[in-house]
Amino acid sequence: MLKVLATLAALAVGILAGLGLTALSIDRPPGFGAVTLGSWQVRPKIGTADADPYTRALMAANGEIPMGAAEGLALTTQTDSTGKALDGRCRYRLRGPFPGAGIWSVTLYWNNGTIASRNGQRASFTSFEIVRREGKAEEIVLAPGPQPGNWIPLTPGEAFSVVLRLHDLQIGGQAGVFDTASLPTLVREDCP
Amino acid sequence: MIGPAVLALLALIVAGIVHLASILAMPYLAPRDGMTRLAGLVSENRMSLLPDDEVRRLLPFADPSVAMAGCAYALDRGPVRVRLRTGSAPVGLVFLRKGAGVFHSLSDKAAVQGGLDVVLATPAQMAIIRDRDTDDDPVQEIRISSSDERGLVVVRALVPVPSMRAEVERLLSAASCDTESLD
Repeated sequence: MLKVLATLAALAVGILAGLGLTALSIDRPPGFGAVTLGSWQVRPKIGTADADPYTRALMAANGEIPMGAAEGLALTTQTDSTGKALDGRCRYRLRGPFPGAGIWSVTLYWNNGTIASRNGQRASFTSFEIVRREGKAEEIVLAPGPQPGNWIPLTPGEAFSVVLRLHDLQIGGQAGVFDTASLPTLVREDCP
Repeated sequence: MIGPAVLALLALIVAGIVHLASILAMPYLAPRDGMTRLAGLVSENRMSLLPDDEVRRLLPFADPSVAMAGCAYALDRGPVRVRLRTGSAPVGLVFLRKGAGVFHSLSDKAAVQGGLDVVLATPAQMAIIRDRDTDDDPVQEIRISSSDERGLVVVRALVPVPSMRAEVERLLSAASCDTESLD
């Protein structure tokens, strides 16, 4: 009797641990299928039939419709260039170069995936919208208070992530073609 | 006598199996995947423009710089043809099936004479279509085989600047998604 109970308990522990591990790998996705380039993360096979099971499970659980490989590629960062978590009270400068044929968009999101727009204000820029200054790299400033140039308002006290979408890039799911130096950097400038 | 080591090993093996099985089953079982979230906005074998605010409400990490259209395809009555005109801004198509996620994608780079002409068919329908091809008549359309009869086509067109949204949406509104008979 004790043997049966002990076996059942071991099975129950196994099932719970297995499900727990699955929940954990959705909440904090493991690195399989992800490539890190500087502070950016990209899942190059996400929009293909060859996506790995973890990427596929993650997409289904989160309810996203990722960019198809032929459409382009999305890169995400939750940190600045030094690896510090993004903070809505600080000022950041996202400075080019931008890779690919040059058609891109940058969007800020809250951690739940909604667009991080402060009271309906701008939360994104496309490469067609930004003001360029001659001889200078393209740049976007993220800060709580108004800034000259291309400014996206931040909400103090809110964590956020930045997604860079390369809309005109056909790399067939091979992020290896990127060099970190060809990607923009997100530099923290000042913080209260 | 079953020792604690054997029980621990049993628990470990069960945990591994349950974990792998649930990861593999997730795309089939997830109640709120992308296709399900858009189900209320799309019609069967008809292309519809997806309202921007609804998409943002329903889809996490929705791209605010695109306009979207969608069509739930059903191949039970024959292949489905998707057609759209392309403009100056990038346009992409993604094809989704339950459990598979995005199984194919296309962009305006595949367009011929300013338009995309795509035929979706089951492998059996595809065999019939190929049989009818002749050498005199080169194939212009893009053919995509779908192993399931049902799936979703999502069209995303970049809106370069907000003032161009109406123009891009007009382009998407003119897109079509129709059943074609093989008889």
